[in-house]
Amino acid sequence: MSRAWRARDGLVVAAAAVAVVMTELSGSSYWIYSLCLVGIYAVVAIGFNIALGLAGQVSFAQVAFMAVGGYATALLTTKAHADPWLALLAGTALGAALSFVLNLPFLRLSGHYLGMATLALALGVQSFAENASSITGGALGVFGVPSLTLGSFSLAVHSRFYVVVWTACALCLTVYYLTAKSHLGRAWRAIAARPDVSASLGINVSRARILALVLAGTMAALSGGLWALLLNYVAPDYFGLAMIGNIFFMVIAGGMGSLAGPLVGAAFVVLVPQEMSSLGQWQGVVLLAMLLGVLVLWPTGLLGDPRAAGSITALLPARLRAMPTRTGKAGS
Amino acid sequence: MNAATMSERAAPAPAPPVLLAAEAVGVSYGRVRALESLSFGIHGGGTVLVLGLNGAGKSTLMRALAGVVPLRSGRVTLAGRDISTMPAHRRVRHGISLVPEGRGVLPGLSVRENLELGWHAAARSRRGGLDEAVGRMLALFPTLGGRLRQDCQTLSGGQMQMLAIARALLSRPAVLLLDEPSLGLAPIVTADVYEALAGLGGEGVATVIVEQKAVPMRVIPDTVLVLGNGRVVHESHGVRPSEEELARLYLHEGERT
Repeated sequence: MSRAWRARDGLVVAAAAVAVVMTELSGSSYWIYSLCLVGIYAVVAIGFNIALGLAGQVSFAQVAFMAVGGYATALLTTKAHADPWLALLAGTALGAALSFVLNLPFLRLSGHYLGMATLALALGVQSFAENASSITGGALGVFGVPSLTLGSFSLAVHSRFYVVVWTACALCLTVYYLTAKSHLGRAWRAIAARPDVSASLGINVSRARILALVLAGTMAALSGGLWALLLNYVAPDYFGLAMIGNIFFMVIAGGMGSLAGPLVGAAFVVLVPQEMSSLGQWQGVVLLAMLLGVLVLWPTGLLGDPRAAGSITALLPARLRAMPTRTGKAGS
Repeated sequence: MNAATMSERAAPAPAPPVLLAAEAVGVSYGRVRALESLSFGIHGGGTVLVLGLNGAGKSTLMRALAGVVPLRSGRVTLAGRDISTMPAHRRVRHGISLVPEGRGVLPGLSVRENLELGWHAAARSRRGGLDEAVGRMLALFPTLGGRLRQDCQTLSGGQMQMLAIARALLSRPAVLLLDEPSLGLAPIVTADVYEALAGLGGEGVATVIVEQKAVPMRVIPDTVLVLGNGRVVHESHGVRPSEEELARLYLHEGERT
């Protein structure tokens, strides 16, 4: 990515930081709660941006590791009465470990085949959560997840939990930024561009791929844990196809491989449906139409490098392309 | 075969030790045998030219030497050590660098980022400073000079080839494997590319070059292998095969298939 696009990326992150701080200071409970959700979505999206945006790994399994983090946090606090902080950490660590173990056999696969296998894993984990009722509470899920506390100071209030969410998000963004600009980041982009030649550039392709998938899995589990602590509840239907769609949309529409892309994608996915709730039953249709519009108009994402995509005008019939240009004369 | 070639040589100087050797190497893609019992050796600073038509097994040989495809039989040694099962990324560290067919530059990465990847692939002790290493490559390929920030996709075919070679050289190879460096290039650009390669032997870099047709090499290769159907159909030492000879060999090969 060129300097100009990187600079714009930095500007968007700075603007997002200002918006996050201003919202907290405003004290508006509606917006604070909404941005809590945006932050939680952004955490999983930043992780997936490493796997898909940088390393080109089409993995649908992020939602499975989100479920692992969510359920582990919920079960450790409700059944084992663990401290919520400890449960969140343990859930994240479990997500990291499982994403390592479960992705190892997938190293044999790439492209569509990796997509298929990880989709099966994602749906399998959701199905397990639904059916292993004695452990997971089945379709009803796990209730009564306690909120975080700092000593006797409760973080149940959304404006306090908000700080935790956005600290986690800033941490993930930092990890993304540091790895993306390191040799590992270049190696990931090499693998995404030409998996066949990367090994003969001295890149340990398997190791680089698994690192990307584990970082993505870890952030997904962290996001799931935060989700459980915000809602004080987890249920299997959160971790299904709709969430898979959200995760892909956040990264692709935000701009693959862009620092700020997942933030913009997460804001879109959370805020647009909320603001459209007056549309009632038409909300889903309008939202999907907007998503399609974004993808067609900005094929490389809202913050992607537009030079990487063909011009939209190329889609128009020649007669329309020959419309008057800025100089006032008709194009040839 | 070796004894005969040794006696043909005028110079009685002892043969330099073999750096990279293929010993009865065979490679299969599923049931298709792409390479059968191929042997050759190259010494430090030496040059081996491998010629053959499409599908003769040239690229397979390069990929086998680089460790990108596994051997079905035989072995590959580097300075006497069997590296047959060493993965490709480790072979780079050990000094075997491949410039793949079609150049293999990385779209979306800038020229400089491509070079940085090559530099990083060198063993740490041999790497040196990045800027100095990049500077060395810009001296060898001045045309890349003003383009370090450009996406490498925007380069011309010749510039891409030069970038691919520069990237491979930055990994400080002892053996450079070049798979059809002239592919798709205008003759004058091919000449430029070979001009840049001419000095490598003097620096002790051994080069194995695969081509389909005769190329403007300034040095006379130590060994010329002509492949057909995965086998060596002709081998010569210290001489360049003439165009006529190649035509005859290729034609003969065409009749057999």
